[in-house]
Amino acid sequence: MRNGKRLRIGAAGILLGVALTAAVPAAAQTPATGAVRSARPEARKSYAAPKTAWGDPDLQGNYTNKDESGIPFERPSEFEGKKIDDVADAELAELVRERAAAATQRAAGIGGAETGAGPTHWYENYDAKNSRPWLVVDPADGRIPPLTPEAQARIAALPPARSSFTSGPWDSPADFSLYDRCITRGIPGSMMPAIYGNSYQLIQAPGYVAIRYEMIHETRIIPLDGRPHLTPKIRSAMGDARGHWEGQTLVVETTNFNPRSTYRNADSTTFKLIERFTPVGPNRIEWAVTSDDPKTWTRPWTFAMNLTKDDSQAPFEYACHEGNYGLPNILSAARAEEKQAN
Amino acid sequence: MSKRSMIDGLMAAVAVTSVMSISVAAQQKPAAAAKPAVRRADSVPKTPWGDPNIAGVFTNNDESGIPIERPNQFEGKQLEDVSEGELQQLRDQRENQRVAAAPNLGGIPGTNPVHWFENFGAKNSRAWSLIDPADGRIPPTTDEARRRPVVRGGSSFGGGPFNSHEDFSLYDRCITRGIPGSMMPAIYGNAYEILQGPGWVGIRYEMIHEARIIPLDGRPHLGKGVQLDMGDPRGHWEGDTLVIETTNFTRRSAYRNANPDTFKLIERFKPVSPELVEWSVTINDPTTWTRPWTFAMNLTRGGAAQQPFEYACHEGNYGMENMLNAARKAERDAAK
Repeated sequence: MRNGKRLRIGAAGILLGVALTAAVPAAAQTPATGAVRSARPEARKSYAAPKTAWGDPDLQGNYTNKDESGIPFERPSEFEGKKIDDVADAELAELVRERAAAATQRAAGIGGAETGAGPTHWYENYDAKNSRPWLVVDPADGRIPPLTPEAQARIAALPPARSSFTSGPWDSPADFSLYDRCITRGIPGSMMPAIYGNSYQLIQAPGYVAIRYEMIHETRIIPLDGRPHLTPKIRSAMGDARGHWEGQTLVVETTNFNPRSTYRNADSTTFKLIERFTPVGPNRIEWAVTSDDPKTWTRPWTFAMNLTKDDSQAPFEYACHEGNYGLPNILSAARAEEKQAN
Repeated sequence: MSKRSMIDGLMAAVAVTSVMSISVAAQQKPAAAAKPAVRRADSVPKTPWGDPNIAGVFTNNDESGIPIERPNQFEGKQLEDVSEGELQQLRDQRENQRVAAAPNLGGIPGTNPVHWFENFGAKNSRAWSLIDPADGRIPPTTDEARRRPVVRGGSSFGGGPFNSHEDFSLYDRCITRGIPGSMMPAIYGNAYEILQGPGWVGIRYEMIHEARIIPLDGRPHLGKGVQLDMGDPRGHWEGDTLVIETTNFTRRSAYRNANPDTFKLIERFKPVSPELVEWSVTINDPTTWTRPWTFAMNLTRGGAAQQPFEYACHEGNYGMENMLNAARKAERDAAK
């Protein structure tokens, strides 16, 4: 039908779509950044973004971060003691080659004939030109800070996190992730690079910024007028976003998440997610994400990656749940197994 | 959870009511609207880059229950001929019908109290919504259109058979209401947000969680090979009126079984007072209707209370699955 590619990927649902899910949790552990070397501080200072008619920095356009596929969150042990900026360009180039080779090796399985998952050329994550060797920029050791004792206890008490890539049990749709169920990837999930669907569109108006995310069909409309956050009683899967400008950087603070959509099981009552969109070149924004929740981590921490402007990458109309046959199929397969066992 | 989720939990039970109200509305839509307060063009505020500024949060709650076509009692009359007294009578009749139906809406187990619904007390702006042709009737369909197969998928309010999810409408399935469906008033979820940037207009629709980002820079439509449920919109300004032409619909989402290859939908958002924008919709498809036709209604500026809420549709769409289960049970029972 219409969306040839997308629709069929959607139809692969949990098989493939879930391959995505796998890509995302994997990315959540080991995101990818990439492509052109991340802007160093001096470059960031020297670039002056154009202005909108009403005087805000103008960041509008279509962006992708497919080049950030495959970058781990935390510093790989081989770089012990080093900072991101200490990694030489040649070392980074070698890393990128290794990651690309590994991705190609996995490709046969992903594009495999019998899954309905589609040929390899449908995927956006091959040959990703990672901009950096890892994502965590603060703290300087490249490690996500330890959980507080309270968070350890809280998270230990949660039922095990499941996705369609784990082994079940599959008794209900609620046994799948929100992403498997085509409900939301939340924030920052909606901007984490995956195997496809890495397109974003940013548009600006006086007092507002809107961001459209291709995957899962999300749009945020973010007020910049200084209004306070909603009352804590109102919670949503995408949270309540408020933005402002700090120099050329668009800063977006999001709170009021649902407990189920809160990043990495942070405490939704105290969690603040701060995104910084800093233009670092005519075609590049650095997207830095600070997770701040004193009830969950011993200190705030930040990861960053690049968004690359590419007007050939306008977001497509995304159809997720319509073709999500994988989810009911996994549930009915689980029932069939039960019958066999009895 | 709360209101919306629970409402969504009813989906095929109640939200389907909204499908019904839409189909009903689609057959017989409200029109009227305050006689456009005359306003001088230069009184419409401008954006910093010089476009007319119509940005904000809007609702068309008040347009609930207006038929598209002219009711028989007004035979021979134009919209302007309907007196305020007659219009008020119509509003009262429509409200009485809603109230009479209300015990069923709020009373089915698992449904919710009447105060959750947005369509009560609707202050209809007009007696019917069709403004062109002047006889208040949708023009006849062409022979070709009458021979065209109807897209599969009835409504959950129809009589079935329900053998597959594909026997339900795209709305029942939480996929899309398309255009103009996304802006048709329903029993709830009638909140819209218009956002303007230089060269762009964004419109967010609460129900079904849609957002259109519409370029105004004169770029051509997409190639015929790319078809979308929400179509491919292109906008421009005519005076203070935002005009949006949408083409490239999918076969299944094209309004009223129109032919996506020839169908053009033209929306006009015309500011008529600081509080009102008139939304008129022209349906143009020579292979489907013998002439173009237009309906119109008002969008009323809403306060913070009308901000679109995060809408969750398919998550709680148990109704569709339950109806399929019930149909299978009915088959088993019949076989006994």
